[in-house]
Amino acid sequence: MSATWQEPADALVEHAPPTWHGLWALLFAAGHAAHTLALTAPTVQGLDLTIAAMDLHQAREELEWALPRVADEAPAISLGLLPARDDADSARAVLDGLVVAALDRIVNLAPTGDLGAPEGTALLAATRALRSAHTALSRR
Amino acid sequence: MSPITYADLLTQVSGHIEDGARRAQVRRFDTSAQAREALAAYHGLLAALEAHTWAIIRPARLTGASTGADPTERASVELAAALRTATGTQDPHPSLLTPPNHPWAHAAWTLRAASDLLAVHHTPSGRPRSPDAQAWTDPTSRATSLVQLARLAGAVLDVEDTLALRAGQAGLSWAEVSRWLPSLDDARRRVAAVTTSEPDPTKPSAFARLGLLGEPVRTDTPVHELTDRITRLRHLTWDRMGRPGHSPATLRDLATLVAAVNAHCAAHHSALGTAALPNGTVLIGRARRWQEVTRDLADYLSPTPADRDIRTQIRPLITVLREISPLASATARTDVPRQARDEVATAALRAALAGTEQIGRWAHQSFERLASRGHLTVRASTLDGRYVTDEPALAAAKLAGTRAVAPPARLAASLALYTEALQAPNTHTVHRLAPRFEATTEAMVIARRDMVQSPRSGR
Repeated sequence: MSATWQEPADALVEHAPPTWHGLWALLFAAGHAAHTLALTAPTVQGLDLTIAAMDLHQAREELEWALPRVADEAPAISLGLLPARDDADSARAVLDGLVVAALDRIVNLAPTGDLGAPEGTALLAATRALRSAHTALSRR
Repeated sequence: MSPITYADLLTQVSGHIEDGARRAQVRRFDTSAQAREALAAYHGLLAALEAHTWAIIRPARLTGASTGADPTERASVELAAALRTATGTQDPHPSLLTPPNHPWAHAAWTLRAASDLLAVHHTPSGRPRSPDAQAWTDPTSRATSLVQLARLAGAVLDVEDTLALRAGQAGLSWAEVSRWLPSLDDARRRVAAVTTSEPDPTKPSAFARLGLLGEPVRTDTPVHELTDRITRLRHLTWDRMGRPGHSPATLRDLATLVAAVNAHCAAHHSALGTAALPNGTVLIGRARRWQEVTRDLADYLSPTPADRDIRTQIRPLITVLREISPLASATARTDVPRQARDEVATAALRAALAGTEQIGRWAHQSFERLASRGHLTVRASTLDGRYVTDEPALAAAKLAGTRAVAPPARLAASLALYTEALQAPNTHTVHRLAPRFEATTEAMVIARRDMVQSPRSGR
């Protein structure tokens, strides 16, 4: 189990509001964690994590480009460093949990009608990126 | 089918020239009309050779890469002038107004297509339109191409006497033959001057691999797709270098791709032990350093959206790398001979490595340009203490959680990571970057797999 990351991740998922700001906070934390994990893993195994980080940043930036103030107003929280004693697979599972939580947020934020408006388009692009990240994190 | 290259076109030209010469050698013309058709085609070919000389020289002169002092270039200009004396100054040349109906006419049209292929790489005023315009700055490449062209001209001029004889046999008056074929001795002398001016005519020319711009990406096989997408991405990255709106998000995407290419090349090398790629340890080290660049760039804000064209290429590239050189074991396909698969994939990966090395350098230059113009901002909360100490405004921004222009020390740290990623690694660097595993263990982890290479269907 990744004791170091589980608790702050759980707190973030529980307390991040069901808004664009809350979604942004989840994506920021997930992207940061993906990079941290990528650089502690062997290069080859870490490549999937680097690609997941790319997806997570893309998802976050889609929100920023549709709603520029979200980057300034939402809390930028990271899960912190990953101690060597922590199990990498468990940390990866924590990270995947953040991605799934973000996807759940998008399901509730996305309009039920036309997705063609800028915000709908942004959430659609974020969905695509997050699903790609979820696939990369599931790959072993 | 592979995209056409400059070398391909010149090979076709050579073939058509030989066909025409063989035709004149082995049988007479049946009619005077046939003889005139051949003479017109011959003229058109000489005109195309003259025009192609300037297709090679002109961009270099416009950009200042050539001053005209090079001996091969001077001799080529004189050869072009001699050919023009024989063919006249009519513009467009009459050969361009009739469809080709003789091997020499086909040679002329193909050579003019080669001139057009070269022309796409510069604007009419000589400004580069592609990264391959770099070929014109290399005097060796220009000289080699001019010598190659002179040899083609020599092969054409060698047929003059045969053609004159066959024209006479077909009933043309010698006065008419002389009008079509004024003495080309001067042109022959100039050919000799060009071909002897270059002491080593076998030197490779960067012109050989030049192709058209914007060709569709082939998706019939993974190797073709890898090759074409890297080519496209290379052009896009080069093209975007000077743009003021270049987004850090794009630079981050590119760094991720470079890391991926190095990692997958390492997998390929470890599986095959091929000497055609740098060894696995070197590649793993490079991949790691590009991962660090990616991580570092994540701190920079991207007020402008990432480049969609570049992003459109990166995602499928990563997928096709996984297909060509998986990082994990895969079941081997036996329907394609293994040696053929390995050689084709190795060549494509080697080219991808070279292409992404250039991409990495251009991305670095783009970052430098953005940094020098103060266009890079960060969340001040991501700046650690060493960047805000003695900077009250930055410290306040950090406390308030607002944005700030990245301070010089922060930019310097990023540039240092880029520089390290672009240099060859040493052993110390490789071991420092893999805290949990030895570098050799990494190589062993990716060694056990078989390469899969197969044509696709339904794409």
